[in-house]
Amino acid sequence: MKSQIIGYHTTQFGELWEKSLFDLVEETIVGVLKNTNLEIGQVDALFFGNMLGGILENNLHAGAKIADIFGINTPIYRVEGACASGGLAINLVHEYVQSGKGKTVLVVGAEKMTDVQPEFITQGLMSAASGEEQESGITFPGLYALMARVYLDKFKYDRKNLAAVAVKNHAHGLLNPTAHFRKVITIEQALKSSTIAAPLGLLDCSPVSDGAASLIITSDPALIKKKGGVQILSSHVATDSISLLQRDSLIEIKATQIAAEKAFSEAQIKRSDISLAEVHDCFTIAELFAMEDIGFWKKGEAGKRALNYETLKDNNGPLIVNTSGGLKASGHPVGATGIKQVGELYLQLIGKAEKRQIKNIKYGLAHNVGGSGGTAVVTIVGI
Amino acid sequence: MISPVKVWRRQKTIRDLLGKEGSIVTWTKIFTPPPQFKHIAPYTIVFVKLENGQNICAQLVDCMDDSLLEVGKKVVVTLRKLRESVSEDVIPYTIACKCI
Repeated sequence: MKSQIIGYHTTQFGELWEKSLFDLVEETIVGVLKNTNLEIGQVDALFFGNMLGGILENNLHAGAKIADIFGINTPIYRVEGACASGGLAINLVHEYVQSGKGKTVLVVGAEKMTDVQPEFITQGLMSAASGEEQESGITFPGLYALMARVYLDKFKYDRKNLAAVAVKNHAHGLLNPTAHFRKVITIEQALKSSTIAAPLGLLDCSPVSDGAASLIITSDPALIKKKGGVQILSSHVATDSISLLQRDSLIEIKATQIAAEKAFSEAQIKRSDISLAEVHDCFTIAELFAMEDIGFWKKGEAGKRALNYETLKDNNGPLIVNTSGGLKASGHPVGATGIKQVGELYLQLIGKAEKRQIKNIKYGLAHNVGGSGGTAVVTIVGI
Repeated sequence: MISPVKVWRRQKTIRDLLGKEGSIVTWTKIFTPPPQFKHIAPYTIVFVKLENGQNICAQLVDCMDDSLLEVGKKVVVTLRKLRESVSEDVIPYTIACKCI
């Protein structure tokens, strides 16, 4: 059974002080229904990707809250997989629709992060790491910094090779009207930015953002015929130890490798068929790992190729990465990120990505990671 | 949330690590800490492979000079109070590493 994306909506990403978590959820659900000319009653189920609502706002039981807002009695499931919550929700919707359990399903992801002081966000995010890691006082920037140092040392790179990722993604973010940051940065600015967790500086890190995004996915032949859209060719999840301490290697994300291999195998396309990838650049080092672990580039090459800006839109290469601005510039409202990634692919594939539009695109890939690599989701879409 | 029982349960296992030696695999310095570590930031965290093959990650104490930090440097596991106590006043001791 086909599972087809027929609509997308995203709120602005950024510091949205006037809006609560559920204001954002409501805004994007209303938006995606409007974009598809559907009524909430035509939706057979909703899936909600969110990580921190329980910790930061004492807001769990989100399904009933959404039912409350819309006056519905539809099944609603909350999905949590740290920063991969959105991607995981899409994966479940894909399975749900393909199983025939429901025909038309709405998937929404949202996060409200700017209400509290940064150290509480740091602590909340650390709930996605192991107890031993939490006890040491390490943070998520710190965990990626540990990996970055090993990678830079092993392949004789320096911080410039990381900074190039941020420069590229900010260049793309400038073109995205809903991005958190719409300004270009230089390598020099990135290198001079204050240290967050050595060797990572502020401009190596994705920001703390508010935002929500949603998609409608259907197997209903009548709706597909009427709305067109983009087919989900495959979506796979892989897991690994929650703790970095248990991993065999500090320079690769094994869960990404496994999920990507399965996704390409099921979609029956080659890496070179992908024109656009939205990859999980929570930190600059994470995009280098993504490019290698998905299998686009060989292990150790990404530092050099990032500095050549091979995946910058303006360079018109065969593979462009993170036209949305990535997590770095588009922002990273955790639960919304995985939805926005697939939403960006949808806009590109239907030719509605405006200034970010890539020519002759047939296939796109989204890559969403939870924690330091404990969960990875890879989804491939095409027309 | 850190409860006294959770601290007690954990402290029964960390004693096995005390006095173990190992070498630094990688390290970082944290400038944006969680609230219970704010009073000691910035601080250095080392990822260490112990001689028995086990990996640990812990704060490096008694070695404030970053220029001495390098991969392969030998460290030993010790006990420290690093986190601020919770309201129940249980002192959350944890492992730390110091240079040999």
